[in-house]
Amino acid sequence: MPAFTRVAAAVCAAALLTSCAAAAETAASYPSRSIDYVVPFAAGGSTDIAARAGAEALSDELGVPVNVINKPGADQIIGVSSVRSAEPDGYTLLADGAGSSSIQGLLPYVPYDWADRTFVAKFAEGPHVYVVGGDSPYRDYADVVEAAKRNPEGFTVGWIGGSSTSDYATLQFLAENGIDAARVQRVPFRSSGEVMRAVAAGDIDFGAGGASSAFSLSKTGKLRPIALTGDKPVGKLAGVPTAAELGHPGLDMRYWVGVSAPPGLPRDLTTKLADAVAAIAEDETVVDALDAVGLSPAVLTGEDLRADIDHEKRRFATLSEQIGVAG
Amino acid sequence: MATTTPRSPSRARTLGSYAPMLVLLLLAGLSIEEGLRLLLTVDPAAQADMAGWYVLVLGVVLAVTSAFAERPSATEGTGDSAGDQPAGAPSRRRDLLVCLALVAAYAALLGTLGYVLAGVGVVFVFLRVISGYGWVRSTVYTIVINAVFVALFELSGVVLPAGILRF
Amino acid sequence: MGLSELLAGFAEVFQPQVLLLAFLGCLAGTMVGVLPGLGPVSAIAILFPLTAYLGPAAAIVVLAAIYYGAMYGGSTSAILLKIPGEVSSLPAALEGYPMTRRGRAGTALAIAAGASFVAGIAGTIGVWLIGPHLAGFALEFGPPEMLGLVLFSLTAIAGLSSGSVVRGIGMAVAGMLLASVGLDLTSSQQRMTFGSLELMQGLDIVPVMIGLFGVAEVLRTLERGTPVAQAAKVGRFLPTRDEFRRSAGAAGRGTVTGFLLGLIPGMLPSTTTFLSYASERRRAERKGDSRFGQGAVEGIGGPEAANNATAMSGFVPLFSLGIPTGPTMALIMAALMVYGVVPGPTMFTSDADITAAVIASFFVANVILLVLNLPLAGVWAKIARVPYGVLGPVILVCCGVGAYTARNSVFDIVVCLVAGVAGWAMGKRGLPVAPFVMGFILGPMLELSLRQTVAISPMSLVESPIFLCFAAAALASVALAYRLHRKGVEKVDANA
Repeated sequence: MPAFTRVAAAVCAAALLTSCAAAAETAASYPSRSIDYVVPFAAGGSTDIAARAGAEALSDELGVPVNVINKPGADQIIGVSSVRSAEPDGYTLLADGAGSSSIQGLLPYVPYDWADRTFVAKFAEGPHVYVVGGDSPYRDYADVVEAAKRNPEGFTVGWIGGSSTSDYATLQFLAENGIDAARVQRVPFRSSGEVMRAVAAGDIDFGAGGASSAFSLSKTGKLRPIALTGDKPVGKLAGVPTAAELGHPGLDMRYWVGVSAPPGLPRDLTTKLADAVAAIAEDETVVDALDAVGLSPAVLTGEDLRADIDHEKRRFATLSEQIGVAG
Repeated sequence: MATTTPRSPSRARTLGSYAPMLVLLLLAGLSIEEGLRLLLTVDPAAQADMAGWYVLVLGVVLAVTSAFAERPSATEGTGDSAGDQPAGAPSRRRDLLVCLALVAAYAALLGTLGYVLAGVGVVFVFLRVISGYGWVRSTVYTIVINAVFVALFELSGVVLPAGILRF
Repeated sequence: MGLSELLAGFAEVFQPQVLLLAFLGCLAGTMVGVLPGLGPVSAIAILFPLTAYLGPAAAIVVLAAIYYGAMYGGSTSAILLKIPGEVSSLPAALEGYPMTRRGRAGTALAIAAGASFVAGIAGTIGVWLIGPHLAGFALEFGPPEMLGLVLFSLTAIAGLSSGSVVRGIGMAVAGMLLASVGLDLTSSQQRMTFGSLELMQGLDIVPVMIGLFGVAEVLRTLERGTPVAQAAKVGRFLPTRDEFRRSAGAAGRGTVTGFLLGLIPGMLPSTTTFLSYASERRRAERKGDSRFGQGAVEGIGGPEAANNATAMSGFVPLFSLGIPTGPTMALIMAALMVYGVVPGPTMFTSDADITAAVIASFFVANVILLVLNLPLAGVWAKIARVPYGVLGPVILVCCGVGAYTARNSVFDIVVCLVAGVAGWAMGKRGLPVAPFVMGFILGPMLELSLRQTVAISPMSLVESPIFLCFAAAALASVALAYRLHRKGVEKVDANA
């Protein structure tokens, strides 16, 4: 069929033309078309929201559309591997975070080298919050620790699959206070939002989640936040002490959101992107949007970021040894 | 839809009539295997025993129900009438295969060629081969249909793989 | 919140630019919703950035309009092309498409729009008046209660498999097993993946469903070799008196049950529409004049109403406690929070102006959508007259796109292809498809609530009166199905 040959020839010609155009891309002309920003979570979670705020600002900064594309599933492996296998041309980026980088370093079934990617920059991070039920007998941090120590088998904590920083915040809490994590009852949930509901309803004793997940329920009095990780208070959770204030500076689990690219992204493009990301972190509307969901701007780029993530991974490894398995 | 043509009562049971039972039994077998694997091989600290029990029990239930209810003798007279004919006229059979190949081709081409060219290809082949339209008509319809698709996706902000046509 | 505050909310919404935004939101939502695979969640996620430059009230009005529009639009492609883009429009595909083939597409669309409108308005009134009092319900429903509800829901399968109940159970179990493919939630162990990276992300219901119904229907039509739709006329648009009576009753029941179930976190429109469909079907079969599977209007009106009522009542726990009942509500909550409005008890007090505007916009959006959709029903229905030779490739590409966009995954198109062949074969062998989908949706809920209950304390089952009630109801339901079966009331129609 001659027509098929003709169509095929036209397709090949088009492919050739576009590949030439791609090769000519330099930092000066980048970006010249829309960028795909892959979020390895379903829409609506904390990382997704932060990534959307970031994408919006990045789009203004770079002058091209930045499309948020959700590729959820399989402990973020699907999203990450789709970015890894894309061309390193700066048009496919990953909304990276601990769950899609350092934690993956602990999972035995990740089919690629987790560190083999171009870490461009992180732009936001936020603390976790530890919560107990408003009607529970525990009034504060010390009460919970005491109860959990007395009877770890009867102590129920929320658990979201072991591949999130919230779970590591829980593990860190248990480790810090000398509670045997392997004896505590871990109750499965799909998201930190569900954990918060269960704690508020009194279904489970204790939960951890990104700070924003407790904003609403803490206002009803059904949920009692007992501590924030790290040393910075959160405006919407006024009166909740930080772990540092309570004398536990070791409880510093934070979650972060940034930009990564496939391995082999040219250096000049990486620099240009990192500068753009750093710029948006100072944008007031972005800061406001981040603040509203319990995050604050925190810029770290290039090798500093990689070193930071490596360090994070080693800490996660130590924590997960407590429960005998990775994740 | 089950009442159009009277069927011959002495229809021989072919391998096809056993197929549903065999497929379901295969699924049941795989589940039982996975359930046992999780129960026997995984470290107890991983709290995977419930995960194993769940598929194991479901697998057993499926094995029992399909062995009982999907026997050809138990399912006679429940399907589409078309099932009794030897898969229709040859040309229709070809249409079905082309149709399936088109879905597969769409999956294969979407990532590389992009949604516009993949759509053009699938629509054109369907119009030309299955619907049997002439070259001119097929081309015109292809262009119109895909123009509508492109307009719809671009206007609504749906992001599909642009493939080699990106700009 | 009193009437005066609500009137102030209406004043806010009746500004020309807000009305225009609401209209555009409805239109955009309908457009995205018509595309199979794109439900309300994707519609909101996709159109989210457009709201970035609006004030909080206007942005929420637009998001609510998009949400509604997507739900109205979702049933259109189901009725006309038998491509259910999300689970909640599956009943519309099962009962609406046979009507389309008889040339009654306009009526089916009008019933869907009318039922959605009634439920939307009733649901809005519910959110406004009784919402604040029912909020605590979301906290009453813990793992044991959820387990009871899921067990009870599973008995509805008996209403979905009029052929043989045992076959229905088998298919539901098969659905539950396929839904369990992927990484296990608690232990992160791989289950039924056999080392495949693609299977590790699990199977998504949307591509499976598009294949089972959409692709399978294309295959069946090609096999019949008769371009069915060619001769079909658009037919009369208004329902007959009998159709009106049947669908109105079903819509009323769907509204009430949909609203109440929607107050429970985790009860998504997909589940409640299915429950409504199953109960309407069972009800019709008990009376002995079931037209289900051949275009029963109750099967469109009831589920469509349940869909919208559930969507509405999801706002109750969101506004009063900040508990999102599903992904769509999580996204709307995130939007609220980005604007500095934290959902919670203050939504009805200190943020009452925003809440009033939002509730007023629900009324307005429903009216806009009815006005938009009733004339459109006539236009859409003309699609039924397009020859299948032209419609076929359109449907096929829609199926591919729909399967892809659910998770932005090419693998899902392959899943859709396999499901298409399976659906075609199941039709040939008389295997019921609806219980399979039901098992697929309820399976993960069953497993999760079961494991949560076991982890917390198995004893909590006996201590929970709600669980005991549901367990008793489930047993009664099974007994009823058995008696019904003995009487042999069911009609031969295994093709649903």
